[in-house]
Amino acid sequence: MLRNVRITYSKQGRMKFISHLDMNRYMTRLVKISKIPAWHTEGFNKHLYLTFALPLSLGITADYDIIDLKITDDGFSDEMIVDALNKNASEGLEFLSAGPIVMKTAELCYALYELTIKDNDAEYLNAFKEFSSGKVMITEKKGKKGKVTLLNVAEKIKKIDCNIKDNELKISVVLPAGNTENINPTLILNAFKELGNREPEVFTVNRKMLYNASLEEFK
Amino acid sequence: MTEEKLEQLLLKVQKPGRYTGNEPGSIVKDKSRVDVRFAFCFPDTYEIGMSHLGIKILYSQFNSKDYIWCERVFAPWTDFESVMRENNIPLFALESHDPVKDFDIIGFTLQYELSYTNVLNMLDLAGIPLLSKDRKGLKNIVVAGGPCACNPEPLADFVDLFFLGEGEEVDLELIELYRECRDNGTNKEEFLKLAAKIEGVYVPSLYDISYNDDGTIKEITPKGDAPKTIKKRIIKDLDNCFYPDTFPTPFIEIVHDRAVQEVFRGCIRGCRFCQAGFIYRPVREKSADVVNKQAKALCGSTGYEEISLSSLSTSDYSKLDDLLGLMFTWSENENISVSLPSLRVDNFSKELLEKVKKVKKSGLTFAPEAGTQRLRDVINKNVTEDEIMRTCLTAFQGGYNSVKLYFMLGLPTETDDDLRGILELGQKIVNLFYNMENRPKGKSVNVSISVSTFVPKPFTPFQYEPQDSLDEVERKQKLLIESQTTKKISLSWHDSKTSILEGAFARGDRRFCSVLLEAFKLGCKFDGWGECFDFLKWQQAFKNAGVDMNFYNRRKREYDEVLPWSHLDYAVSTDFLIKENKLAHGETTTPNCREKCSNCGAACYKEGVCVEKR
Repeated sequence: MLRNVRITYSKQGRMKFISHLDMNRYMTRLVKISKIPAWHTEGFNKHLYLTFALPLSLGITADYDIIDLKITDDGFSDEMIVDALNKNASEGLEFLSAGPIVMKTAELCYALYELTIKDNDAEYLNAFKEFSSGKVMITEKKGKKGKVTLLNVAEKIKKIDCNIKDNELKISVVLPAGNTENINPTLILNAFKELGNREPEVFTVNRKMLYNASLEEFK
Repeated sequence: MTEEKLEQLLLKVQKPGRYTGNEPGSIVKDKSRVDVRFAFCFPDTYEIGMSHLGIKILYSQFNSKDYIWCERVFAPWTDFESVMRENNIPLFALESHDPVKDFDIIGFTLQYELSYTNVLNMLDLAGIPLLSKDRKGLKNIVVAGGPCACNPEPLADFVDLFFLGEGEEVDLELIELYRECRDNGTNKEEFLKLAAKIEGVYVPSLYDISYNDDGTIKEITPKGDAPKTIKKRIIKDLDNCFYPDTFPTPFIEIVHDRAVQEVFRGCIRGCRFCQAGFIYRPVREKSADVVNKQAKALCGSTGYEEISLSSLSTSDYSKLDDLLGLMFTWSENENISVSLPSLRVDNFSKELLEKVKKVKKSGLTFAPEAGTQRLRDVINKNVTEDEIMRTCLTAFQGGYNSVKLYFMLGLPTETDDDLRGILELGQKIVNLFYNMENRPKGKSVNVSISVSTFVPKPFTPFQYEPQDSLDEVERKQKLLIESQTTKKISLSWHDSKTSILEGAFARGDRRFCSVLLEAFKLGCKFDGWGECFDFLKWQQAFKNAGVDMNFYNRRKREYDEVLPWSHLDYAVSTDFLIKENKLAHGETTTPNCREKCSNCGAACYKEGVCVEKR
């Protein structure tokens, strides 16, 4: 019997420089060296069946990311999966849980991001904060076929919260994520720069959580 | 430079995964607990360097010693180089992100001549003086090895010492000596003198070169008690030689993204243009059992689903059937495919094809190298047209409908008929496909013909030959295009200018150091990359240095000329190379090492094929 298993993990540090496609190949090898009895497709070009719930853009870290596998051996428990993966995982990657698939990938609707903007210029941070709380954030968005359209990111924001503490602005923002619509949070920075502002000294993005349409944790 | 700042900058460049390290299998040690830090530098991009087997072997071997921490360094691509220079980031090693300047020994692997400017550029990015004489202490000893070290003279002013031959043993001996000397407070000069006593170590500063009026070398004179000739090192017993059971597995896609298992070193064939076929002599095989075990361990530790059996000519491996039999007992269950590069046309069987197909339908590539039998005899390719046709037929009957063929242009004694022969051969293969009785309906055939430019290399029988001029190469390329008869043949060729430059450096002498320095100053780098190569700058560099490229490319050397590498001994004797050169001009072939020993000189090691029962 095949068992569908959803695995959650965090991706931090230098791992953020590994793109989605590269993560895909890396995960395949990781599952293999961890000797996890995972199902392979049976077509002409056999390969490990492994799906990511939501691709993560290069440069963004994640506290909560998801892959799904099909396990061929019932004796290989969820705990064993997490242990085996953690034993072989590269620095920056930590596997958190394995368990049944509760929600379908198509139900994934939103993601919570935390943007950290560090700058020694307090005025700059205030302006950024002001801007982030506003109703207009216009920037270009590239579509899948390279089509460039203008987008008001503010209209897409489900929830936003900004705080400044010690030269550091933190923006928590919930944006559409998933198959139907996906908004990259760095567009907020792009929109800010469109107004003639420079780049901050440090800008990082961390994806903290994934949600379904009712903003329930995606499991 | 804080890690945070570096991360911000990495977001601005292409493929930041080239610079982050942290890959599975990469080795991080506590730097306070190691004695010697070795920066293993590959003077090309991460994707190229990480595809190279040698770096994987030596990296793992050095790190198997507790007192050594070997880290990897690659040439940053031009976008990151600009960022580095703007932000004063020195060249750093992948594992620790520490500056290369902090390392005791900085080692370069020289795989192709066109990477030499990157060697200089990397030293410069590291903030290390380029010239050996400007580096005073024992810190930052610059060493180099690899196939191009067989003529190291163009780099003689920059590199403190070269390793000749295979590195597994000699490198460790040198590192050990380094540690002793440093701890004893020995100075650099003394250290280099002691290093020169190790077999396989060449210290260029211990040799004076004098020249004749006509520009040729008069004499190569050792200083003090430096050896008159320096002999390359080889590994005698490959079965018991170090081979890694794991190596860093890249996150980003590299050129050869698979596990690589070496099956033997050297090549029995003796094709007269092929440097590797001579400098890696004698042929030494690993046993099928050892190869199988090592391959299995590698797949298990890296997670790769493809393993390539690597050598100069894998279908010449005498135990190939046994090996594939052993490997298929586990590879299929573990969804691992085995790939065989470097197949020859004269021993390519249906059975072998079945085995290659069983695992993955990859492309089939063969290298007849020349278009006519006459020229194939000149270069000692020992492949007949019948064999080529039979191989293609086997492939077509096995369901393939495309083959790729490699040829060379500009070979010694080549005529226009030989060139037309390339396309005639292609046409015959196309006809072969259409005349096949049970050919697949509705399928077309594609014969890709790739033509590179011949470059005469040291330690080959063609080391005496002139290289075609740029005009001549371009005329011949045009001739090929004009002779193309059908669209079923796709023709591709090499940029001729890079081959000319490669030819100059391959047989260049110590006077090339100033050319290299000028080229570096003019901004030459990544010369093997079309988007970076700038021939005009190179012509300027030669002019600035007062060196005439034609003297090196276009001139036929006399058999008794002192060559820039005459003091280096790669086991293959000069007499043998001269004899082979004469046979080439007589259009006479030489049997391969397994058929008959031709007394090349490699038997001095009493190893491998030289002592096999024939």
